[in-house]
Parts: sequence; structure tokens; C-alpha cells
Amino acid sequence: MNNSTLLGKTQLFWFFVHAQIGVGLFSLSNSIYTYAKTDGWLSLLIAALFVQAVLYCLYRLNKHFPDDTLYTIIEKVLGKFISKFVLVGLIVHFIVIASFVLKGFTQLIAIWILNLTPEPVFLLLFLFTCLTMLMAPLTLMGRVLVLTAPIILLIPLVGSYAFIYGDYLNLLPLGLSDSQGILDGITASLFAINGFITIAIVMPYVEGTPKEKYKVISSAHWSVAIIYIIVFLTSLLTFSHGEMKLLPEPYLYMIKSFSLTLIERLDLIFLSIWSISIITTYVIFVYCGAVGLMRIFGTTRYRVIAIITVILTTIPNLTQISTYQYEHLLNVVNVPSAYFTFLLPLLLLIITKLRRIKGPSSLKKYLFASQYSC
Amino acid sequence: MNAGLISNIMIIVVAITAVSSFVIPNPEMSNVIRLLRFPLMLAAATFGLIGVVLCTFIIVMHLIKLESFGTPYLSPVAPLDRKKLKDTFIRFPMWVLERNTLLTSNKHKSKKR
Repeated sequence: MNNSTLLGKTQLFWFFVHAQIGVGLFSLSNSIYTYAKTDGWLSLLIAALFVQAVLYCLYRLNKHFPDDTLYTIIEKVLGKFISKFVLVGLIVHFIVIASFVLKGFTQLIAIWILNLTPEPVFLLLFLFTCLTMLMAPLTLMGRVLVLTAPIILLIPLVGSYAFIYGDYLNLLPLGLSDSQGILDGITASLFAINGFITIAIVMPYVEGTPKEKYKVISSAHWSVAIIYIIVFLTSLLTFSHGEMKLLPEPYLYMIKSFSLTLIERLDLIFLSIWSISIITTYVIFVYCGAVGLMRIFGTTRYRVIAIITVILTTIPNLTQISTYQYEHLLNVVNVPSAYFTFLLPLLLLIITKLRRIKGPSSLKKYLFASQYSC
Repeated sequence: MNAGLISNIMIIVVAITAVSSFVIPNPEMSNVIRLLRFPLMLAAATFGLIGVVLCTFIIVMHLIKLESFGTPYLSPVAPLDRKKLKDTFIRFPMWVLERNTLLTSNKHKSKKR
């Protein structure tokens, strides 16, 4: 591993935000509300705290192995035999999440915009667009992520209109759900927040000391958490209890009710623009999966592997499943993937400390890194 | 008058495109826009707004990949540089500029006035 820096700090910030915010955003409010009722913001906050703890573990790992991606860290810490299984698990996790993102996107488009178009047709257009971004090296990806950042900022901007006319009494029954409900709300929100593990794969390529990276990632994480809480609260403000139970994508329905003088259906335009954000999420997951596959097969042919990964994520999408089956599958996948992503960094850190695995000669590296960042 | 061939909004769109084509000063640049219009039109006809957005994304992705003489094509925006962003969107008159712009950047400050 060379010490080349491919991403800047701003790019790291938006990498994290794009990895987190994707297709899960729209169904987030509804899926949390079914379990945690009006206390959903609390379960979002607790989930954010959990993620912060994991990010701290990743920071300590990065401090210990400054030049290693998550895959090579796993190989160094767990030994040759066990690491293979963990690597395969991690890659399967990335591919499964990517295919869920793809399925969520196609369903969203099929329901909201292109009702009569068969799904494979616009799936092809979407994948072609993704491939143009996926074939670019990481530096260019970082530039795209910064360039598309204003799209993320659209959500709180558009949504905050609800704070003006919303009914604040809808927020009120606080403490309605018990602790079990709040915990279920956390697991329901997992699909929206499980992108944080991708950060461990690009960590060595970012400029700056580990501490600076940690600060950037933490600020990115909390801005994502604030955006999620804004989305949840605005949906609550707009819709009453009876409506919240019925609406699968409360945020989109809320935008649909805004009608400006120039733009009639804000939701359709928003969703079209929003597809770029889904592209970035999908590309980040596929990139991480492809890097892992390259590691396992021991090749450096990124393009071939990336196309194989895209095909792997596409195959499950050709089956016809309904939205209910999709949500059910999501719940099935959520829990093991959550255990995986939350416990893996912690376990890696503990094993590193217990086995006292040495990183590369630490002091000189840090001096070099601090010089480089200045 | 009432043939019903095109809608009102179509006339507005055509008028806006015709007027805004005069904004581009260079004929070569306007040729590029004219050529790029066709894939966008195709995407718009088949997929609607989402096709336009995705096709624009492909074009932007291509622009990001471009480099001329080692400098990225979308230089102050795509590798975002806040300091250099100053004179790209709104450029102040020459007598206000104390330092050089991006294209003429030297290490030294240029003379005042």
C-alpha cells in the first residue's frame, strides 16, 4: 500500500454523506413510525450515537494501521483462514445493500414516475449512468460527490417548509412507546444508516492525520443525523397518526402537497433530481464491493471486477417482488448486516489490542503525515 | 390558429431555447450544445425528466473526466477550491483585482493598479 492521497477532506465529508443518504431516506419516517411512534427521533438519535461509537473504533483502527483499508486490516488482524470468511461476508453485505438500493430505486420510479415502463428498461439507463461514474478512478468520484452535494442540501431546504405550516400538536405524545419500541425503531432505521462502514475502505487514501479525518467524519455523520431527524419531524408535523400509518413515503407525499406557482408537482421533479443521489450511493457500495472482490481474487483489473459486481447486483433485481415482500426482505437482511457492521470494527479493535499486532512504525509515519497535510 | 399541432408550453420552450442559444459567444461551443441536444432529446422523449437528469449526469461525468494540460476541465468547481472560486462566477473589474486570477496565477502578488 502506498501512501498516495486521492481524496481531500471536503470530498471525504461528502463521501460519507452520500454513502449514508440514499434511497432509504423516503421510507425512513414510515418504517420508524410503525415501531417507535412519535418517539422516532429518539431512536434516530440513539442509532446515531451507536454509529458514532463505531466511527470511533474505525478511527482507532485507522490510527493503528494508517495505510490499510478495512480489507487488509481484516487480513492482518484475523489471520489468513478466518479473514477469508469475514471478507466474503463483508463483500456480500456490500453487494446485497447495493442491490437493495437498486431495487428501492426501481420501485420508487415505477410507483411515482414511470408507471407503465417495464422495470428493466429504466434499470438499464440507470446502470449505464452508474457505469460512467463507476469506471472513473477514486479522485474523480470524489469530485463528483462534491459537485452533487447541493442535491443533498435540497432535502432539509424543501422539507423545512413544513415547519411553517405544520401542526406542532402532532409531535406531542412523548414517551408513548416503551424501550422495546424505540429499539425496534433503531433496527428499522438501519437501512438508512448502514453506509458508514464504506468509510473504512477509503480511509487510507484521504489526506490528513487520522484525527483530522475523524473530525471530518464525525461532523459528516452528525449532519446526516440532523437531516434524518428533520425529515422525520417534518413528516410528523404534516401528517396525523392515521395518515402516517398508511403512507409508505411520507416525505414525498409531503412535498406533493406543496404547490408553487411555477411548479405544480414538486415531488416528481424532486424525485428525478434525487436519482443522482441514489446513483452516488449505489456507486459507493459497488465500488467497495469491487475493491473487496479484487482483494479476494488477487487481481488488479478493476473494470472487469466492477462490471461483474454490477451484474451481481442486477440479477436479484430482475425478479418481480412486491413492495411488501421488499420491506419484509429488508427487515430480514437488516439485522444480520447491522450486527456485522456494528460489531466488526469493535471486534477488530479488541483483537488488535489483545494480540498486540504492530502497525507500521508509528511515530515517523505520523510526522510524515502531519507534514504532508500542511 | 387552432390546428392543435403543438401546445402552448412547447412554444415557450422553443422560444427560451432560441433566445438562450445567443448567450453562447463562440460558434464552436454552440455547435457542441447543438450536438448534445439530440441525446438529451432522445432521453427526454423516452424517459421524461428522469432521463434528462440521468443524461445530464453522464455529460457532467464526461466533463469531469476531461483534462486539458493537466488542469481539470471544471477546475475551480469540480476539485472544489474555495479560494479560486472567487473570480469564476462573478468577476470583478480589473481595477478591483489585487491578486491574479486562476489562469494567470503566479506565486507573487501582482502590483496594485
